[in-house]
Amino acid sequence: MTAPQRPTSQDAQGITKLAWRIFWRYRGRMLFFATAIAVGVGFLIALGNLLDSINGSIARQARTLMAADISISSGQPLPPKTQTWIKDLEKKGEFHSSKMLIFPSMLAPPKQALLSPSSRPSSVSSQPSASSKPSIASKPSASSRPSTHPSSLAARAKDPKSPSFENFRTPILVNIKAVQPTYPFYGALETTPKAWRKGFFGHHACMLDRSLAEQQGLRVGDTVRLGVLALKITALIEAEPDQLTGGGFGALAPRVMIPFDIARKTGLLGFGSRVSYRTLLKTMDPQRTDLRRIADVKKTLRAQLQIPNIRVTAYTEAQPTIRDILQRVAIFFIFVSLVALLLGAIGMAASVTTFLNEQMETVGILRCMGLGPRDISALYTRLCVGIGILGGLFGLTLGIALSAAGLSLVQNLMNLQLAWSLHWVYILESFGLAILLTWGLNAATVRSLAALSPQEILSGRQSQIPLSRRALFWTGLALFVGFFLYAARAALSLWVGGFFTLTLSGMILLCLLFILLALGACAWIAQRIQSSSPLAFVLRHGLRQLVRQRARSLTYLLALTIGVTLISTLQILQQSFEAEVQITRYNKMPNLFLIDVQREQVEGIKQIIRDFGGTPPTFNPLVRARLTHINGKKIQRKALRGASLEARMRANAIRREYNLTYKRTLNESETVVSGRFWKAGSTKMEISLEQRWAQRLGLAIGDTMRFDIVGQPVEGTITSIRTINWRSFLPNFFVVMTPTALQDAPQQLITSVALHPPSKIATFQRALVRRYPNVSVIDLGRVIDLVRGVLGAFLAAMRVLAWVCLAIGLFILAGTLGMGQRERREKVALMRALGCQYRTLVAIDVVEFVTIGLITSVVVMVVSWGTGAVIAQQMQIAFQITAAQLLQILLTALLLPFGVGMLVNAQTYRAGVQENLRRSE
Amino acid sequence: MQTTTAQPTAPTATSTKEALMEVIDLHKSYLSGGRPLEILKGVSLHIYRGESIALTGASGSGKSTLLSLLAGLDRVTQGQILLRGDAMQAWDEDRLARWRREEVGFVFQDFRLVKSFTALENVSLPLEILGWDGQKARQRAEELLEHLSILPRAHHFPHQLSGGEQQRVAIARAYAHRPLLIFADEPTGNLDPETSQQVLDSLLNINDEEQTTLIMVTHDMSVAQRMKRHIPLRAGRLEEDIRSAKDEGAKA
Amino acid sequence: MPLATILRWPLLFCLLIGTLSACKKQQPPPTAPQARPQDTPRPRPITKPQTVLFLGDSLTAGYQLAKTEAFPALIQESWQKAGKPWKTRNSGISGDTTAGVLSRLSWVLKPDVHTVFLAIGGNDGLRGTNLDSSRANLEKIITRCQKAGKTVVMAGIQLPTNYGPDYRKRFAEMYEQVAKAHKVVRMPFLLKDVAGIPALNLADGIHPNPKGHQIIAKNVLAFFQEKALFP
Ligand SMILES: Nc1ncnc2c1ncn2[C@@H]1O[C@H](COP(=O)(O)OP(=O)(O)OP(=O)(O)O)[C@@H](O)[C@H]1O
Ligand SMILES: [Mg+2]
Repeated sequence: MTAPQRPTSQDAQGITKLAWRIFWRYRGRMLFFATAIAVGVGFLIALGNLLDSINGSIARQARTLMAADISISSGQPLPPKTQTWIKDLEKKGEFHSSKMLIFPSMLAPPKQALLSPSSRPSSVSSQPSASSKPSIASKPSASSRPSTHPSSLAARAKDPKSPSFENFRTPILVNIKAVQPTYPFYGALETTPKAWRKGFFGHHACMLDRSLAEQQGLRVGDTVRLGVLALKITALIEAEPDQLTGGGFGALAPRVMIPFDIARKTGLLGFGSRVSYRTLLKTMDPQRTDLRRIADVKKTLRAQLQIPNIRVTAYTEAQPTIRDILQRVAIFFIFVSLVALLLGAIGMAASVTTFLNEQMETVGILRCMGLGPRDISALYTRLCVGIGILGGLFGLTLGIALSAAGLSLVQNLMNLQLAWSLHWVYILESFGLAILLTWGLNAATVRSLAALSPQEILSGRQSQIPLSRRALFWTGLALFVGFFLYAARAALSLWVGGFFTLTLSGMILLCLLFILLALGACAWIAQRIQSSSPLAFVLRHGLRQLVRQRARSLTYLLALTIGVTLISTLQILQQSFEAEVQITRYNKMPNLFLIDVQREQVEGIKQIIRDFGGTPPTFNPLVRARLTHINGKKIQRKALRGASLEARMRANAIRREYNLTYKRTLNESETVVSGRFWKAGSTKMEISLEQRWAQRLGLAIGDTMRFDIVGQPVEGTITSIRTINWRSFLPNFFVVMTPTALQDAPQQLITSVALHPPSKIATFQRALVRRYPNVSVIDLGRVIDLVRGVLGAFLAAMRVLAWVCLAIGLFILAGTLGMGQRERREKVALMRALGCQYRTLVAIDVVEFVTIGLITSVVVMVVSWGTGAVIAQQMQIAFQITAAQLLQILLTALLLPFGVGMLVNAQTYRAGVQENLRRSE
Repeated sequence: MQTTTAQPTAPTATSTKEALMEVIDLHKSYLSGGRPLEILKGVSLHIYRGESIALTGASGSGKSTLLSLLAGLDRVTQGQILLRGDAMQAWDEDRLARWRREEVGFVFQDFRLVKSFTALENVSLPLEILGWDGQKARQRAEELLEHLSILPRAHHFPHQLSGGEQQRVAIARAYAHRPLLIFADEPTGNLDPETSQQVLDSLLNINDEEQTTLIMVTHDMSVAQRMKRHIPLRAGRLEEDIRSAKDEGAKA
Repeated sequence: MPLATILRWPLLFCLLIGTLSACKKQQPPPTAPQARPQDTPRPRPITKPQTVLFLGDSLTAGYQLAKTEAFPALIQESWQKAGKPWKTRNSGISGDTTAGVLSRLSWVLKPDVHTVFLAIGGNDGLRGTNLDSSRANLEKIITRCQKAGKTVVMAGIQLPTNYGPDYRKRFAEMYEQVAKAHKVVRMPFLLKDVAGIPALNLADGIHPNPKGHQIIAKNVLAFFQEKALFP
């Protein structure tokens, strides 16, 4: 080791120069320290930034989804006062406003529409040609088709008592939206033909959903009847920006848009109409989004509109669910990143400590040359800050790369328009975090290094920088508090932050305790093996080697156990998830729900499913019932007079209507956890409950329940408790009874069908509804796709994270082993000089590494099992660990240190004595 | 200083007894800054069983280098070392190690004790490597430490020992297993005259009694004087072979 | 358990289930043409039947309310206070349709039932189903009740104006014609004085709140009195 030159002056500049020289001299190791810290930092930065981008994008997109900045919706027109106030806003040049009506109604298609599509004139509906140019509804139609004369119909419609509607078919339910020309403020209405405004506003015109048009055989240019008006179809709607708004009744019915001005003329509005009145507001300067102004306006509107059932929504608060989900998912990853950061920090601190130990001699010399403790402290503090800066830089780079990758993933997955941005806060955070950790964790070591007297160092009295227990305690405490604060901030909850920090510290302390015990045991064993056999020699020396280098062994056992524990815990959790989610089964999963099926329709429906190449499913009866008695006691209603509706609803939850079913056998998603499920032929009145539901109602096996099934009491005894895997997408019920109890009760049947490919669904649905109009089909495809997409990404991210953690673990392990390298080389050289064989040397190290592996695997198994169980319980997933998993953990923990150790030291074993001695310098 | 004659090759062909080690035109160079730096430029030497040789020379003249080449701790650049007529450079590390384990004791200039072992453990290490029972090795080590008056420090770790104490542990370690050859690199450099004398006595004692060959680097002329041969090293070559009077007398 | 809620993955599934139940709510069951096979007249009751069976949908069931807050219970309360022997039984199922009622008739037509108060069809109408099948169902229901010896009272239901004059008219006529054809006592509109008044309805604007149910109960009682139904 060459002692750096004495600085020309002891001023700050000189110290900095000296620090830089040391930094450069040991650049390889500095790189390692910086990288160790950078991984965790990078993950945190990426997550934070990603979350911000997503939130921002969602907010921006929310405008599109609302087609406005603020939307006011109510069951009546707005009071005049509010209307004036909105007009004023417009006059002041602050907001544009647009009115909109949404309501369900019946639309009558023309009779000839479905007759024979091939015989019809005009071209394909998606490409209306000039010849089929729609004539304007209010003018006499020039169309060659025998369609209704719109104006005459409108005229006749003025006398509703004698409407002549013989040219129209049975009306169908549609969801009407009446819009003004300013619609939509944000986003675009996609239609065919594209220019939908032309011939729409100011005319008796309408636009239909493409699906509706196809189902009814309608085309652009056809005339349909709505209320008393005949409307010409001017375009087909392909996509609507604010499609999801305007829920309530008929939300699932196909969309029909009409000009706002003709809405009154349809005769559909008036007393007794159920219409959603909307006013959309848009700031005049959408580039400069003044969030506060929007919030202000919203508040004023809320205050003005003290009418029940009026909703005022600002785009800033839209989509809370997606944000919520993202936030929650992100917290999980932030926690994992924090652990990765901790792991990196331990590795970094341990190797920096070793480095500083090796620097003792240099420090001694520098001290002799006249540098004071203050200078030494400044020198190494600067070095640490330098490492921190490098770590921050790496972290930032990694963070940018990761968030860019994450962004494109989320973009594909959630179909969000994400704008890439990097907030300066994250740049600061990156550097701040890295510097804080490199400086904070090494401060105590640097301080005691500086406090050593040159005599103590140079006489060789101090082989290691002494660290006071107090300094260790404070460093640990600071780390604990820091983690707690960070976690609490990320989770927005002290409780969660506390839980996380405590679990983590508990895990670390547990690891530490186990390791100390194991090291003690090793020392004891090494003492006992004194026989002359070569095996005894190898064992004795292997163990001694492990025990004697206590600080080093402790560090890397700790880094290793925490690392592998983390990875195993992640692995276990991931597999628990996967097992629960059964993601691989998605392709065979049901994607349609059929409800409201009548018993006598079952065979016919099964045939249709067969015709479409699906496997006929089991139909489950659904019986509606209210719970009235438990164990013969009537459920008392609490006196809740004056309480809010919500409170009453909650109190009445128990008395709510339930869906029951009866069956002979369980389906594959159900597992009985206590009691026994009845035999197929049971004639008793037996009940089986879902576990959580039973817990919530405080019911157990042996209790009796009486239901009121449309006026008739049905009583049964609980004989089993089940758990249900709801992700199976099979129809499942909280309460199941024996057929004896329920088969005569009023019921409908429901089932789920797997119909692949999904392109068949539309025709299937049409075929089914034509024959059985009462059956409702719910298409789960999109929901399943979304769930599958998000789940897939989540699991993929988890897997990536687990691998990254493994990589960090390996990296740090290699680094930590590297830090003992100098000593190991010297020892190998000496053993060699004393005549030790290659085999023996390797065997000694194998003993050491295998012992490390054994300790690690035992600790990891115990601790990751525990941690996994705790977390799984908190996340409410079934915790499962398989023998294969156990073996995997065991082998990983066992082979990892062994493999890495052998790899790192292979060269050392082979090298000659002098070469090793030279390299150990 | 002794008078010197320009006589490059040391061994005399007249020697009747077969040499234990035969060094023939030994070269050793290090790469320094990409260019070879020649330290030993053709050293030839015969070492006979039971001899005691003092190796002297200026600092940096290559004494330690020669010593470690002789003990097989490093590889020669050019030339040969024959052990009982067998060329050592053909041996692999394990063969060399086996030879050292059985026949060689080595005292490093900077002691080189195993840092994580106590003095006692350091001394018993060569015995354990030889396959001794742990208990027995310990006993022998204790005897040696006792002999070198550092038994009270037996359970100290190297960093807790003074330089002289460390040196004595290193010496004890070198002859614990009664080797045939002892290579000692300035074994008394850190000792006070009295202790130095005592250590030297014991080394010469075993040299005498057990016909152990002793090759010792030293700067101390009085020490060199007590050896049977005294070979100065200068500019990478052995300058001359000064047989001490004692040896001459013994031969006669 | 905050962590559970925060880390809880199944949230997405809750979302899913939510979507599902929303779908269910919004697609009330429609028609089912056939009745259940076993439909033999019940044996005459030993005791005098004094139960009025309210057969209907969410309006009868008291959507989101406790059963005691729905109008059939309020009517019984009032009878009890007046010392009358009559009882009510609520057989309303949220989202039920004429087809649903038809299929559960055999379950509910117990010997103790004296009168059936039929208030069904709203969901058929709101869903825009073909009214021919609804009418057929209504007729079957009434015929079977009458065959079983029950008195039938039918409450009319009106669709919101926005369903269009044609459809609304046909819907209203359906009740008139069925009532006339089967000689059934008809209450013109169940939600008289309640429909369309925000203060009397839940936030959804369709279902009456407890206050609304009190008014319905009053109106129904007045109607009974007018027709001298339950002395
Ligand atoms: N690994 C090496 N690389 C380059 N040069 C080396 C190396 N080892 C030793 N040398 C050089 O070889 C020369 C001889 O070194 P050696 O240690 O043999 O000297 P020495 O005679 O023992 O000196 P001293 O009496 O100071 O111990 C020195 O000039 C030294 O700088
Ligand atoms: Mg030397």
